[in-house]
Amino acid sequence: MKKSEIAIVVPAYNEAKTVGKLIKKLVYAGYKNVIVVDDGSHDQTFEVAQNCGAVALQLPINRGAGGALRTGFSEAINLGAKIVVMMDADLQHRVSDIKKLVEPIVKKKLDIVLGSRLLGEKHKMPKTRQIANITGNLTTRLLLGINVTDSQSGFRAIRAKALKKMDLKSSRWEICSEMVGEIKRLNLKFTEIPIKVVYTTYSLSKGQNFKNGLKTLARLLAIKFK
Amino acid sequence: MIFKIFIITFAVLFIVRLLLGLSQKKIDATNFLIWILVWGSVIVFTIHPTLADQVAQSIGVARGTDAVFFVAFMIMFYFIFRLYSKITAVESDVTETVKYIALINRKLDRGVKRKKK
Ligand SMILES: Nc1nc2c(ncn2[C@@H]2O[C@H](COP(=O)(O)OP(=O)(O)O)[C@@H](O)[C@H]2O)c(=O)[nH]1
Ligand SMILES: [Mg+2]
Repeated sequence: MKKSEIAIVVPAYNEAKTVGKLIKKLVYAGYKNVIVVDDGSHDQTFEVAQNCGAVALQLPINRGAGGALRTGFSEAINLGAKIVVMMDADLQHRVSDIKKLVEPIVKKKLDIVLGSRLLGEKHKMPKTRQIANITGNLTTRLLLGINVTDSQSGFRAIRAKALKKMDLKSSRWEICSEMVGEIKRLNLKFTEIPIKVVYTTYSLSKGQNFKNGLKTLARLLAIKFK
Repeated sequence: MIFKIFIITFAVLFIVRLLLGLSQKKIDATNFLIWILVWGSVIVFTIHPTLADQVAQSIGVARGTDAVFFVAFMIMFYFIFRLYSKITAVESDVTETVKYIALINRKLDRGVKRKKK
């Protein structure tokens, strides 16, 4: 697999401080197809992404990680990517882990590889995030009938063919679980691999928290029973 | 008595609004019927409280006011549920539209760049 056949999709909401550095790191590592989806940010996220040479898309209003990701996925498919990698814009995910995510797709002919924060070094994740994750996993298991160690991970690699088949509808965080549910529905071949996630106070100030978790649960129920 | 007059005026105002809404086609027939029934029965039960007791007894609830409250709650829950589903649907429509705008803009952008070259 050539790196030019991989597209990196980065949803970004108010990440002007970090997104430029991430793009540079990615390009330096040989990933030239970086798609940044600015999720209606109030800062310079879009301009920074454009100036750093990424394919930059802009949602005119904030729609959440799900809306941003799905937009990025469509663009990646339009650009003819063979493998799509999704990762956060806040430098929490390490560029060096991309190789580990992509490899099983190429070598083991898998459809999707989920980066898991819970395989390997568990203690690195703050308590609040651990609780969010356990709850997320349990509900995904009960509602969607599939067992994974990290259903809420935002660092994943997907074969474009499998991505095209997925019927993703959600706008916000429930996209993470929705994808896992699609693995089960479409009988996709998948695996989980350990990834390292860096938790800084910057990254902890955003993202999934208890209140959001409840909302995510409500939306998951809506997906399940619609 | 003052309380009764207050409730009845309130209900009448709502019915007038419903009629206006229907004539201006702001609400559909089903909704119109449901709300007319709701506010109509509010007026009837305020004028004839004993009627509520009779209805209550026939469906096996002790007091008329209990039955009225019970039905009122059911109706409210029904509308909250409907509102919730509608909002969810609108939310997802907004996302689809926003996604479409972003992708189209990107396409146009690419077109412009190609022309410049
Ligand atoms: N918080 C938040 N993040 C968003 C949104 N839309 C896209 N994102 C991006 O989704 C990624 C993950 O978000 P983050 O807040 O770091 O969540 P966490 O890593 O799960 O704690 C980041 O790259 C965000 O910029 C949004 O509406 N809210
Ligand atoms: Mg993050």
